[in-house]
Parts: sequence; C-alpha cells; structure tokens
Amino acid sequence: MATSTLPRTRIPQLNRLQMLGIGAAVIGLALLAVGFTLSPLQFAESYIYGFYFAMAFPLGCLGFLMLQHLTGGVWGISVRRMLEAGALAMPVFFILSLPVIMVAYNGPIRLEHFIYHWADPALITPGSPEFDPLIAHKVPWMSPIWFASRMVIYFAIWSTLAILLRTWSLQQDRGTDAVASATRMRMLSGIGIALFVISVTFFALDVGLSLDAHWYSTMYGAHYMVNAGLSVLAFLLLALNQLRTAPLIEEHVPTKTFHDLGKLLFAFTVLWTYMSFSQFVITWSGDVAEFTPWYVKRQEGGWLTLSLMLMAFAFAGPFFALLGRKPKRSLRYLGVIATWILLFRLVDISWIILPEFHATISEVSWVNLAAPLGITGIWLAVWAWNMQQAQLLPLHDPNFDSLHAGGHH
Amino acid sequence: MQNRASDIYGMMAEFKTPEQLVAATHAAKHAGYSKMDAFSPFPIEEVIEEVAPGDTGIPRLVLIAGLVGASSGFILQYIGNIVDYPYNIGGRPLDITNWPSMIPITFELGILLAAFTAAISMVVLNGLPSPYHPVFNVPRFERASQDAFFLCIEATDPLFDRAQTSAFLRTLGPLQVSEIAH
Repeated sequence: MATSTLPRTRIPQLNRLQMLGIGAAVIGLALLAVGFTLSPLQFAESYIYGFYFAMAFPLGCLGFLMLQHLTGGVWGISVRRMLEAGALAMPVFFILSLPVIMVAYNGPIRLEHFIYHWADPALITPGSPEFDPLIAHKVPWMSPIWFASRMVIYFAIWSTLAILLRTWSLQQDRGTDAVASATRMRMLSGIGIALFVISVTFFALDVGLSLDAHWYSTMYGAHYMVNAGLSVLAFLLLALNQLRTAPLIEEHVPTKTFHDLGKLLFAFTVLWTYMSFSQFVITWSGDVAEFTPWYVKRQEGGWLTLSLMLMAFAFAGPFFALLGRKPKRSLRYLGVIATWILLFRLVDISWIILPEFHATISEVSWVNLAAPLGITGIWLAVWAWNMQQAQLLPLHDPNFDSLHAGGHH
Repeated sequence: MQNRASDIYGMMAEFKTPEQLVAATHAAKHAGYSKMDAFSPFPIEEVIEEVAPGDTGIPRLVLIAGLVGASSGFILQYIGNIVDYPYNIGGRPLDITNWPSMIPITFELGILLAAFTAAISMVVLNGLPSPYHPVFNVPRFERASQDAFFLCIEATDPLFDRAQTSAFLRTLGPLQVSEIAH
C-alpha cells in the first residue's frame, strides 16, 4: 500500500531527544528500584510524586491540542504535531498509573501505612479506635475500587481523544478531505475540552489532593491544569529550540509562533500565580480549622523556604523576564526562561505533594527525585518516537498558508 | 527650496491590495524613509512593524502606574486596617504578617491604574481628539476604512523631496499619488 504510507521524519535532533529520554528513564527507574529495596514506602511516595509531575506533560499536550483546534492560529499549526505526539503517550501513562492504584489498595506489597489514608479500614470502620468520621463520610467516593474505576475512566477518555485526533490528523496528511478532517477534529475538541476539564479536575483531586483526606479546595484541579499548561508550553519552546534547524520548521514556522508561545507562557505564569495565591488567600481569610492545616504544614519544617521561593522565582522572575515584547520574539531567550519555568514546575509539585509525606524538608531524599526523572524520561522517549512517525508540520491543514501570511487573515 | 515644501503635509499613495501596501512599505523603508504612516481597513502586522515609531513610551508609563497603584493600594490598607483601626476580625494577626489578605486590593489597584494609564495615554499621545487632520484632504481617503490601502510619506522626513518622493511612490504601482495639503 504505497499510497497510504506517510513520509516520516528522520532527523538527528529527534534521535538525540529520544536517547535523552531513554537515558533519563533508565537512570530514574534504576534509582527507583534501588529505592524500593531500601524502603518500599519511600518508593511509593516517590512514585506518586513523579507520576503527578510527569502526567502534566501528556495532559497539557492533550489540552492544548484541543484548544488550538478550537481557536486556530499560527502557533497551533506550528506545534500541533508536537502536541499530538505528547498526548499520544496516554495509553503508556495508563500502564504507569497502575502502581498508583496498587498504592491506593496498599497491595500486593504492603507498606508500613496507607499512603492514601482514606483507604485505611481502621479509619473508616465505625467503632474502631481510630475511626475518623470526616473521612468515613467520604466513602464510597474515596475507596480503592472507585479510585481505580475512575482512573480507568479518565485514561479511557484521554486515550480516545488523543488517538482519534492523531488518526484524523494523519488522514488529513494523506490529503483526502482536508477540510472535513479539520471540521471533525474541531467538533471532537469542543466536546473533548469539556470532558477534559472535568476529568482532569477529578484526577488531580484523586491523585494529589486526597493525600490529605481532610482537606479540600475547589481550585486544586484548576491549579493542576495551569501547571500542565505551563509545563507543556515550556517544553514546546525547548523542543522548538532543538528542532529549529529542521528543514520544514526552518522554512515554515514564523517568528510570530515564538512570540505567541511566549505570550501564552507569560499568561500562564500569571494564571498559575492567580490560582495558587487565590487558593491561599481564601483559606487565609476564612481561617477555618479544617482548611488551614494544609498551609500550616507548608510553613513549617523548612517548607516555608519553598513557599517563598515559588513567589519570587516561579512568579516574579518569569513575570518580569517575559514582560517585554522584544525578548518574546527570541527563541533562544525563551528557551532559557522555559528551562527555568520547568525547573520551578518541579519545585511547585514538590511543594504540593511532598509535605504530605515529609514533615520537614530535610527528610526528602534522592529517592524522591528518581520517579519524576524516570517517568518524565519515558514520556520524552515516547514523544520523540511519535514525532518520527509523521511530518513535523500538518502540511495539508486548510489554514496552513497562514504561516506565511503573518497570521492576520 | 521650493522642493523642500513645508507647505504640504506629505505625499500619499493609494494601493489596491494589502500585498501591494506591504511591498510598498518595505520598499519605502528600504529607500531610507522613516516618517511614514499607513492606513488600511484592518491591521497588517508587517506594515505596523515598518511604520511603527519604535518606542511609544506607553509600556514604561503603564509599568510605573501599575507599581504606583499596587503600592498605594497596599499602604492604604495598611494604614486603615493596622495603624488606624486595628480590629480583630476572625483571629487574623494585626501586624504586617496579615499581608496575604491585603493582596487582592493591592492587585486590583495596580490593574486599575495600569489600565487607565494605558487607555488615556494612548489617546493623549496619539494627539486625540483631533477634529482636523490633513490626510482627509486626499481624495477617496474615506475608503481607507473600507477597501483601500494608503501609504503616506510625511514632509518632515529628512529624505522628503516633492518631485523625488512622488516619483518614487509612482514606481510602486499605486492607483494614485497625491500631495496632501495642510
């Protein structure tokens, strides 16, 4: 079937990134295995943290993929293939979510205590000496079987969306009915983005927030989505820095794309600050005993340093660095800022997750960093592999010419 | 000195398509003209890049206004809630450590002043309101907001020369070239 084979991309840059991903995955998972032999509990804590951090990449890719189908625009066409490749890692991440489900069940390997306290029968069985009515009230929503079922539903939704959008996009590449494909993808994205917001919110509540079974915040899910957006925008800019010299990108992708991505990076930085700070200030103003402990925990044991660092370096630093117009038109400069932002995504997720495991920051060990390295490495390798299966740009998109028209039509 | 012509505002060429206007702007810039303006029914990014006067000063004004707004918002609340009327509300501290609850107003006032400054300085620095402007003396100029594309080279440009500039604009394939009377 010579007619149905599509041109693939064989460029050294993608090979390098794939090797980098595989390298990070091997080192990370090896360290994680060593950590497991030292302490299964630390292994499990590291895994949840790493999974929550790395999940931002496929999720952010899927979110932006649907968003750019809906809004259109030069930046969307320029990075669509990268977003498709990233979102397509969803089935792999379903497999990677299985250890999290096992942790919730606390089996087959029994840890010293339940990491998800709501799964502990001692806390939710009436009459038990440790019975906690506040947590018992949340059963059955917070019970291993429903936790596992919801995970399956989330990944079914995300994988279906990612696979359908990629399949139709490749059909468009074959040049038959490009407009019909575009319409189909737009329709699916409209429904998909609504499902996405709901499912990601619940995913964040399940995996991240429920580590503290007493606390809740309606902003938690939105915060995670913005975090995913920031991670992916920063990744896109770094990837473009690498791929800039690839023939198709050099020929077609205008400066406007970098400028637009720079503007989005700025907007998401402010949005992240808004989400993080509003959540805090609402709790602060309310001053209610059920809600404050989550923040009190993060002001003690050295965690306050991280809180202040986030304000200074995750908000103020990128905010002023991205304020001007000129810097946002330089891909090299944006690459530096993007590296910075990615680093502080890791710090932010540490601040969100790790205080639930460690009362003081000095308890954090190298095992904690093994899982984010390993799982992000797996994602990067999958991304680079997927990138090689198609052309770097959707050349048959009905609006492809807008890349050369300054994007004002 | 008759060609130096301070009695006209400039020279205006009309083009049929946005592509022609883009090409003409590039050519004029290339020829060394700097005091130019372009008129089109919709914004054209390449043209804006060429004719924009560079630093308008507005970004700096907005930044200063934003910082002034934010700091005055914070000081206002500090004086009100902590110096003058230190009431215990919900057990929150009565000193500077209660700063988080002052951030929303600080933010709002920063945005308020920045936004007002952006809008007002845009109007004022553009010289608006301006009941009369010479460019409207050009025939068919009202079409600039419908389907016509104009490029104007102003008489204050150091390279401006009545005969040469007019000849130059005619090489760019315009529908018409006209002098703009004051």
